[in-house]
Amino acid sequence: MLRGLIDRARKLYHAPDAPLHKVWPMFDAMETFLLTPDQTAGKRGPHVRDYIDLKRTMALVIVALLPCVLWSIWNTGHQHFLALASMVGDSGVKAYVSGWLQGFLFGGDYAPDLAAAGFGDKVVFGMQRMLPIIFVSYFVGLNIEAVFSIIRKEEVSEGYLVSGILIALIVPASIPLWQLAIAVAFAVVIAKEAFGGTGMNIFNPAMIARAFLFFAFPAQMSGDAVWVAGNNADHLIDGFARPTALAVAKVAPAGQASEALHSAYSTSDMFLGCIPGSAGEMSKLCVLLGAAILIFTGIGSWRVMVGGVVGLLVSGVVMNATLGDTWQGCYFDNPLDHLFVGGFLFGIVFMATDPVSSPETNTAKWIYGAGVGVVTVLVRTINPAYPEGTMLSVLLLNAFAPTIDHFVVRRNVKQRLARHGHQ
Amino acid sequence: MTTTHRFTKGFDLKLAGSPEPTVVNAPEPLLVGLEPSEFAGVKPKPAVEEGERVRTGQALFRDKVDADVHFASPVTGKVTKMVFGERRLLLRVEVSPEPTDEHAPGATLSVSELGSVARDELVRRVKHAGLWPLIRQRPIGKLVRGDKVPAAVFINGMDTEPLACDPAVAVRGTGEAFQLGVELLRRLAGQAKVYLAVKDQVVQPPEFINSKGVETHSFAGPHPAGLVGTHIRAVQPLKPGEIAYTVKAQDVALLGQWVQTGHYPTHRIVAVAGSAAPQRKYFRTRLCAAAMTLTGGKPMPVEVRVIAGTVLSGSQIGGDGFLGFGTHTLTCIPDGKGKRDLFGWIMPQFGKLSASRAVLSWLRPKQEYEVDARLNGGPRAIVNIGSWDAMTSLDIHPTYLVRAIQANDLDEAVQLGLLEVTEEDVALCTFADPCKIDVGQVIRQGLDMYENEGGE
Repeated sequence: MLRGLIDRARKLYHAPDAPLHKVWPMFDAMETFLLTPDQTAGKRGPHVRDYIDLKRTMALVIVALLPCVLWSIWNTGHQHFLALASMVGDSGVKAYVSGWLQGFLFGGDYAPDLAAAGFGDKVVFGMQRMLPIIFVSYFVGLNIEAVFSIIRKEEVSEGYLVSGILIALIVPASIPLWQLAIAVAFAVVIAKEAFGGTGMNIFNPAMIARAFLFFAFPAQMSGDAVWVAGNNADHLIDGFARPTALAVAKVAPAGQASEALHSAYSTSDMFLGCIPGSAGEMSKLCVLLGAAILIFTGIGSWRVMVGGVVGLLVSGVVMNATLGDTWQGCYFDNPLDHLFVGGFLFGIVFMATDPVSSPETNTAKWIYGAGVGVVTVLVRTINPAYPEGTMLSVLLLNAFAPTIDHFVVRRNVKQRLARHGHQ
Repeated sequence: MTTTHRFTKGFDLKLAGSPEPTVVNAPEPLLVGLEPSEFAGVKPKPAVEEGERVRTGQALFRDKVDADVHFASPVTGKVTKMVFGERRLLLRVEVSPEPTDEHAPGATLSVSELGSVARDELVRRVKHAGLWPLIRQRPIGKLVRGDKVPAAVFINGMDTEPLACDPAVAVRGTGEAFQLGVELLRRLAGQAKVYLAVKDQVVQPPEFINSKGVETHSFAGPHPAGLVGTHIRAVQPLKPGEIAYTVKAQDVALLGQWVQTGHYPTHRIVAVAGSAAPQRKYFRTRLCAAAMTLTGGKPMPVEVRVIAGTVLSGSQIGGDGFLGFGTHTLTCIPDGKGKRDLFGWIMPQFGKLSASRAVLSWLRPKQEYEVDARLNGGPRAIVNIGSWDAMTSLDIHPTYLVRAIQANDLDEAVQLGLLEVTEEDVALCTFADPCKIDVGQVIRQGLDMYENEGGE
């Protein structure tokens, strides 16, 4: 029956003289979302093809991201109510104001028990923040992609399906939606479509969206106040600020970063993700679950991930041993703390492994991954301004990815010439 | 003393419908047909006219580039049809056979002449006999042009392509003919070595075990371990300007049979395989026979894709098409045109073939797959998740090679190993690619570019 409907709809746009042919990529995207295309192989060349396609590849990345998404919904609510609970009894605190989803579900006089909010309260608050962010990210991004597909007369590519959710996971839950929309538009148009669309971009589009927000709207992207979302006009809680784990370590006096970190946040809280931060980076456990899915299915490069973690730990040890006692910054006695704080793990698993903006040869993947780890530690330790270095290091290494590949490929050429008897 | 080469990269497509390894005689065809398009790069010049009676071994057409190269009729009979395309390009010659063969007085080579006749003369006689196209050259992967003496000769006694005709089965029983074929190749090789590539850890036919004058190498691992491109790279990589002759083991026996009998070899063994094939066996059949001879006498319906060759490197022929001269396998699979899967991109798909674990069929490792010819996705720009690299055992970076060709940068492509590959070497990359790019087509464009720019 569905098939009949689709075949009838197809008549409206498929043939070049059909009335809606100009916008066929939009229909094609919806059609192939429902049913696989029936195009068959040519007369020559391989007649059978693997069942994997780009849709499935991207869908699996989203599946790998699901633990992070679900966790971010709960923890956004958890952090919200944790903050309110800490303020119970303060004279300045006013009555609870509910947001759109809370108002819709519980009515205008919703008054949760601030000292002991339930699981449902937290999830509803988390959805209240996360769903609009995800929606705006996809709505803006996919529409721009569709317009470019129509102009190029190409099928809509699936790349943005992953970028869309990634963007939602690397911004604070308090982000104003209009800023997010501008950042998404900037990333898709300038970082991706200007280069030719999926497969052609140099930088990871999601990281570009974050970088855009970071430099264009620093007040909403950094500082101690933005990481816990609330219901006031700025989506914050009036009078509440809680620094992230990295920020705690960054401002601690020289030689005391480790103590400051551990007195503010326990390792288990950091690992499980009961800490404030960007939505996706909170739970290291969820990131590891996602990493397992990506590595097992072969979609994410384990070389980049392992290279990154090794680069981070080794440079963490080296930096701590050399400058740890004299410089202020994230110098940790235990290098594993570098994994538990901030967004490195999320970045190396989901963003550095982007097949388009990372190198293609296996050797280059090791070098690139390690580079992301090293630069992240350098920013965390030496740079005086930014607590987190993952974003900058991924973007920097994106820029170097073709160069690293170039050297690996040249070595291959040299070996070939050597086999041929040339020196 | 056999050297063994082991490979881990690659993938064996476990398709349903392997042929039973017993050889039966196929009925004699009611029609045979020869298509010049089977021989890439050949410009055909017709040597017969419609209505003419031809004898077995008589040239049906010649190559305009090298007029010595004949393409012979495998039967005695009447030329019933010559099909021409644009600018009178010969597309097909059809011959309706008579019940008995009458051999044309053509080029022969007696066993005693094998050792004495000059190499040039030897080459000329093989060409006139219509058997030169059995030999292909690397690089390029087309029939041998020019008079360059090869740096090596590779006989392929294995095939790892899915459902392919096993050369060991096809060669068994050819006896003396195989060794005579080897002797012929040794003469063509001059000072160069003749290599025989066989599959590791299987029972070899006596023809392979007792062959003299060859250096045997065995290969273990998944496809493409059985491809001659892999063998050359592992055994004797070619230097710039060098060429290698490559011959399939069964074709060596055909060459030997020509020396032995003095006649054009009219029959070969063809494996009929695939989930849609009515009978899956090894058939001894007339060269160039109508494909329906091997599919129960009737043309296959349009829902079945009939492929002269394997699913990785063969060409689709219609149900009423012809086997061709160099076909060792006839594969019949469902075509799949018009079939569509609901939410195919997210369903687990336990029964779909995939080299990646992104499709959950890895949970059933012993499964054999009935695969149709659908692409299973829309074509996209290259998004490299490492699937090409995992599918090639050659020391090349396929994405960089493809981009160099697409950028028309021939020098770069050659440096990146263009001359080490042909489309069959990258067929698995095409298979496994989530972006549905025909890698082989790009490689062939690159090789064409190389030929056009005067490369050898």
